[in-house]
This record gives sequence, structure tokens and C-alpha cells, in this order.
Amino acid sequence: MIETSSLRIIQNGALLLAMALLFDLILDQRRTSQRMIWQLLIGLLLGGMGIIVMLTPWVMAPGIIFDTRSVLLGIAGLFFGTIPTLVAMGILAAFRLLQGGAGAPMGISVILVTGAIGIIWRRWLHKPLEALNWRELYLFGWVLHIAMLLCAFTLPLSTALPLLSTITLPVLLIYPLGTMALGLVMVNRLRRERIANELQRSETRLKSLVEILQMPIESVQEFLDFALDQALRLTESKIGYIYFYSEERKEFVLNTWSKGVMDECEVVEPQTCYELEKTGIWGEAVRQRKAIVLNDFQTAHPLKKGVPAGHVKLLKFMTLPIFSTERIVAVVGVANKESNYNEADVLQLTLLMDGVWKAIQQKKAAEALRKSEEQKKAIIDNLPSALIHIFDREFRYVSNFGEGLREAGLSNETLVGKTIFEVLGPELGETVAGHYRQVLAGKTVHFEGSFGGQDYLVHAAPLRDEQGNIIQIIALSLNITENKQTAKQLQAANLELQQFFEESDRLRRALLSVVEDQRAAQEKVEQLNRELEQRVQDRTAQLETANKELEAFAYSVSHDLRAPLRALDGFSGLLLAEYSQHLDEQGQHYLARIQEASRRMGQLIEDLLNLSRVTRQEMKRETVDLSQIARQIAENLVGPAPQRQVEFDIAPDLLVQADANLMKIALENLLGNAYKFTGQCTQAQIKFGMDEQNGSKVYFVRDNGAGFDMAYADKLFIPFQRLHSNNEFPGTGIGLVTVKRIISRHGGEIWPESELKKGTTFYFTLKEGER
Amino acid sequence: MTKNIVLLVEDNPDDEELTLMAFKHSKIANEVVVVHDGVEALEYLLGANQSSGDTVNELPQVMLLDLKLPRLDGLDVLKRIRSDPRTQLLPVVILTSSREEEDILSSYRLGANSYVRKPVEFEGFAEAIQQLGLYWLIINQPPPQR
Repeated sequence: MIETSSLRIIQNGALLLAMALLFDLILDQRRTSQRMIWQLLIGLLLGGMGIIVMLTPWVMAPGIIFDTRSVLLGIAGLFFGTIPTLVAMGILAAFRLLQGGAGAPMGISVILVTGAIGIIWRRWLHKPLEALNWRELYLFGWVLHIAMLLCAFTLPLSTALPLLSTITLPVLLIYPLGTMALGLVMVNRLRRERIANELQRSETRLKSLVEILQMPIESVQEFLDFALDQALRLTESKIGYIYFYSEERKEFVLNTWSKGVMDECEVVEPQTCYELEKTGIWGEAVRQRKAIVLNDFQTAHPLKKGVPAGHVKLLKFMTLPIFSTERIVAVVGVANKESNYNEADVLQLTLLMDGVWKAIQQKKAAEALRKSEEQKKAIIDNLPSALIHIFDREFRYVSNFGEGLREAGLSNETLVGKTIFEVLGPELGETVAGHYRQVLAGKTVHFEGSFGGQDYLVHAAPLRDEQGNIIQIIALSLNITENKQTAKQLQAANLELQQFFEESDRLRRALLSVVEDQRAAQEKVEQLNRELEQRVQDRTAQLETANKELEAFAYSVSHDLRAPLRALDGFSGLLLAEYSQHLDEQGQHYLARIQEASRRMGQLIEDLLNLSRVTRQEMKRETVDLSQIARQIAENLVGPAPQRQVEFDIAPDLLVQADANLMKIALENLLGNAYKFTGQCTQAQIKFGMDEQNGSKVYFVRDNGAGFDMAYADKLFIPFQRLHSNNEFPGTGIGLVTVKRIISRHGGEIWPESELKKGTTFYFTLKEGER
Repeated sequence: MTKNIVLLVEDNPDDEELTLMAFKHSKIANEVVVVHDGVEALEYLLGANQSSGDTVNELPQVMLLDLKLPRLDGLDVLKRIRSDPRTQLLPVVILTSSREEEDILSSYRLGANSYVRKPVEFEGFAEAIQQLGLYWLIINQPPPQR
């Protein structure tokens, strides 16, 4: 009996363990879409197992039959879910009803109660099943079986009480433990399943990462497109996006979205740039700086701000920020997974995107490094005649390159391993070593040196290891032979430049201060004045010389040219006076012509001397009464020929600042001319006066005499030029030239106004006020 | 007793002849002694050695002196005459073609008694000579001879 019971217990245990296998099916059905059929099927299998369990009871006492249906249904309710458990409960309840017997009500009620407890327990459990520990499972076992014992009261009390007193102890000893054991098996399976899942997902992620990392980056865009595809695959999502995020600008820039989005999304003008403030739920990842999961997107949510019209329909949604050194650099979002997003998805996506981001950084760094290397190479290649050496601490050549190497007749191969003393010779080697010792002391040095007839400029700097110890020396040598040759030109250019700068500086300083500016201007004016003064002095000296020459000439003319004329006149006169009886009329006429010519010549000389005197004579300005002078001249003119009818009209009190002597000569000429050219008028009128023209005084001498054609006016002031024949009006053509000279010396101007047979007016001005 | 000589210092033979002619026309019969340059004039007045002693010749009543002369010019002659006590007071008339202010001023400064400019036309010239003769030989009271 005992043996049979033990065997039955073992059978029950085995059957219950078989549930664990069935549980695997439950786990599998999670991934299929036809869940209901699976669940019904599993419910049938559970029911089948329950029937077998009920068919292998062990009889504690006659009519008191034990089996493990309570454990089976409780665990099923807890781990398999509602539908399979309800199906199993139905099957078992029906079977027990068929069995009948006194214990039927109790049996059926046990089936219903334990199944229900399992289902309710599952519902009330607010944590994953795999998180259940043995205590909770043991408690579950106690609750389950206390409920089962209470079902005994469905029997007549007389039956129930003895039964309970008999079975309570063993039931409560064994069944909770069994329940706990089976529950732990289930939890273990769940955990294993989860680990397997995670492993698989990790494998997928790793595979994705490997693929991502192996992908040659043509562009970051392309790389992110690929990364998003991988993210979708990993999270079993249908659509997704990656936004770059700028913490400074608080702005999202859409970098990529999945192809599915564009197929389904019909937003007319999709924005690709969003400010954080205006974003809805998907900005939460940034605001909360953590992953956001919404598995019930279509229900109202306080964080949602809606989506644009035509936006793809979102069912389940997950978004998370991507950090780089604690700064959010991007946001990834995925949506519409079949099942709920869970923490594993968050973890996987976080890990993937971290990997992606690091890959981007790494690729960027690699690219930057490659560019830097290229630049270095370009610099070295483009440094004409440059040599680059790396030395160790014993001044041995470690590495050598650069265009100048070949030019200097060296090569890396021949240099490596040698010391500078071997290559440069002991003397030069020691000099250079002196510089390099400074480098070993941590300094950067520059020095010049000659090698192989070429001049080099060497820059040397220390190379350090990671701990900062100086391990090597890098030296850049530039061939400056040609530079040295052009150094002189450069120096000259520099000097010029310096002068230019100095000049600029001087100008700048001159501009800085108005006072200085003025002073500079004043200096300039003074210098100009000095120059002008010098020129005036020079010119004066020249004039003095010319005057002296002119004086000498005039002196000679005065003395020597007149004597022959006097002889001509005198002797021809004597001939006429004393020998006229020997000469006929014609002869006497000739002598008269000789006399006249010589006198005319005498007058010419006289006038020329006057002109020269007017030019040479020193000016002495004083107050001169022109009216007075004019009156005197008029008297003198009228004196010799009182028979002429001449009316002089002389304005009174014409006082000027001028040279009296010169003004007298000028007026003599002007009034004399007026008198002369009115000689044929019956009533001559000569007027001397003054007009104000444009605010300046203009003096004039006007007559009503012969006048002249203004066409010839310009000839008036040229020496010996005359507008009338000598017979008509005698003259030498010097008088007006003299007048003009006098007026000019007074800083004035003279001009005529004349009409033939009507008369002439000579106007003149005098620059007064200057003494 | 004086002979009332006129000393004419004139280098130009034309002027010399015309002057003499003018004197003749003016009916002035006084002797006219003609010398042809400054040196000659001084020799005549002060003797060959010129240094001391009596005058070789009787001093003229008036000397007609041209300015522009060979060797020693008129102004130099005048200067010497005025610096020598024997001729210091001798009436000297500058008779020249020049009308230069400089000449006129220099002449008077050096002690010329008169300055007469020779006109080009003979009539005027003759009249000037006539008046000169009249004035210096007849009207003017010469300094007493010692």
C-alpha cells in the first residue's frame, strides 16, 4: 500500500514536472501571432495532464484520495495564464463530475478554487514572474492548499472534520513545498528563457554592431541609416527615427528615419527641425534624460501633444536619448513592435546606439587622424629642402625623412643607428649636441649650422612618452643657403618697410593731434616762405645784376650814342648856316633831313633812357596828389601853344599812395598823348578823373582826339610800335610802354578804350595801401 | 693879370670842334685851351709831377669838364682838383651828354659848380655854350687868385 502510494507520488511529481516542458510551449507561443489557438491547445494539454494526475492518486484512507491537481492548476494559473488554465479547469471539473462519488463536490471545488487562485495571483502580481522567489512561491503554496482544505467543508461536517484532522498536517507539510518546487522550476525556466533571449538579442546586437563597425563610412548619414535599420531589427520595430540634438540650441535635427515611415507617413511638409519646447512625447526622452516607453500610444497621455495630420499611426512607442560624455547628442525612437516594449528593448537599443555613436566618434577620430597625418605629410613634403630627424637620448639617428635628405647626400638607412658625432664629425657634432642637451632639458631650440657647404636652420623639440618623460628629440632642418643669399635684399626691403612704417607712424601721429597737424602745416608754410624768400633773394640778385648791366648800357648810351648825333646835327647845321650859298635847294633839303633824323634819333635815345630809368629807379611810395600833378602838366602843355583851344577837366583831390616821380612821368605821357592826339580838334577836351568799378578805383585820361582802331590796341604797349605816322602825330612809340611799366611797378593795370575819330580813354589802376 | 682862359677837357674831336664853333658864334673871344683826357687836364693844371710847387700854367677862369674821358675820367679829375689846395676853388662846369641822375649827383658831391647837358641839336648846344661863356666869364665873380 505504502509502496503503491509512494509510486503514485512519484508519478504525480513526474507529471507535474512535465508541465515544465509544456511551459516551454507557452514561452514559444509568445512569438507567434495565433496566440489564442496555442493557448487553447495548451489548455487541452494541461487538462489531459490533469486527468492523468487524477487517475494516479494515492489513497490516504478509504474514500480519501489525494492527487496533485491543486498544484497543477495553481501553477498553471500563475504561470500559464488565464485561458489555458480555464480550459484545464473545465476539463478536470467535467472529468471529476463523471467520476462521481461522495468526494465529487469537494474535488470539483478544489479544481475551481486552486485554478482561480493561480489566475488571480498572476493578475495581482506586479512584477515579472521570473522575479518570484521561493518564499513567495511557498506562501502561494500555503494559500493554495489552505483554500483546498477549506473545500473539505463541501462534505458533510461529520465527514469533513475527521478528514481535515487527518489530512491537514500532511497536506500542509507536503503540498506547499511541492508547489514551491514546481514554481521554482517554472521561474528557472523563465529565467533561462529570458537569458537565452537576451543572449540571442545580444548576439543580434553584436552582429549588428559588427556590421555597423565594419561598414565603411561614406557619410555619417548613410551610416545612421544603416544603424537605424539595425535598431529596428533588434527591437522588432517597424518604424523609427534618429534625431540629432543640440544641447546649446535645444533643437532637434532629423537625421534619418526609416523607409517605412516615408511609405506610410503622409504629413504634407514634414519638419526636419524641431525646437525642444514644441515637441510632444518624443521630446520627453530629452526632458527626462531617460528612455520613454509607451505601449498604449493610442490612449490619451498627458505628455502627448498630438501628431501632424497624416502622420503614421503609432501603436507602441519607445524613445531614448543617446549620451556622449553626459551630453545628449541624439535621440532614437522606434515604434510599432508587435508586443510591448520592455526594459530589455530599452537596454538593447541603448547599448546599440551607444555602440553606434562610439563608432561614429571613432570613425570621425580616425578620419581626423588620417587628415592630420595627411597634413603632416603635406607639410613635410612641401617644405623644400627640409630634413627631419628623430634622435634618441644618446643622439643616435632613429628615423630620418624629408626631401632635403637626398639633397644632402644622406639616406635614412645609412643614418639610422649612427650618432651625430659620427655623421657630423666630432666638432660640429659637439656643437649640435650642446643644443640637443637643452632639448633633453625640455627646451625647444633653434640654431643655424653648416653641413656639406649648405646652411641649415634647425628647430629641435623634445618628444615625450605618456608619462611625460623626454625619450627622443625631433629636429627639423631647413636649407637656408638661398635664403641667406637673399637675406641682404630682405634686409634692404625690411629697412624700406621700416621707413615706410616710420613714415606711416609719423603721419599717424601728425593726424592724431590737430595742433600738431597745424604745427606741421605751419612749418610747411614757414619752409615755403623761406624757400620763397630765398628765391626772391636769388631773383633780386639776378635783377640787380641785370639792372647793373642795364645801367652800364644806359650810361654808355647817354654818353656815347648822343655825341655822334650832335656832330651830325651840328655840322649839317653849320653847313646850312655858313655854306648855303654853295648848295642848291636839293642839297639844303638833304642836310635838313640829316638834321631831322639825328634829332629824332636823339629823341628816341632820350625816351629809351627814360624807359630804362623808370624800370631801374627805386620806388618810393608816398601820398601823391595826382590832380595837382595833372594840373601842372596841363599848364606846361598849354604854355608853348596858347592859341590851341584845349579844355582840361581835372578831377580834384585824387590822392594815391605812389611814387611821385614815376606818376608824374606816367601822367606826362598820358596827358601829353591826349594833348598831342587832339591837335587836330577844333575844341579839344581832355579829362582826368576816377571811377569806382567793382569797388576799386579806376583812374582815366580821356580825350576826344583822333582815336585808334581797337583791333591794334595790343600794339600800344610794345616799344616802337605806333598807330599813327610820324607826319600825322610825331612820337617814338616808347611813351605808353613807359606808362605801362610805371603802372605795373605800382601793381596796377592799364587798358585803352578808343574809337577812331571819337577819342581815346586810358584807364589804369594802382595797387594802393601797400607802402 | 689874367688871360681869362677857358679850359675844355674833351676827348671827342667832333664835340671839341662844335664847342669851339659855338664859342666863336657866341662872339666869345677868350682863349680856349683844349686837353683830351683827364691826365692831360691834371698835367695842365698841376704840372707834370703834380706833387708840389707852383702851377705850370695860369689857372683857367672856368673849366668845362666832360665826364667820360680816356685814362682818367671826369669825376676822378674833379676829385683830384678839389683835393689840391691850388685848384680847390677852381670853377668847374660839367659839360656832358649824360643826364644820368647818378652822374649829376656824383658831380655835385665832388664839388662841381655847374652841370650842363649837351643837347643833341646844335642850336641848343650853341646857345648853352654861349650862356655858359656869358655867365662864367663875365657875370660870375671867380675866386681870387693867390
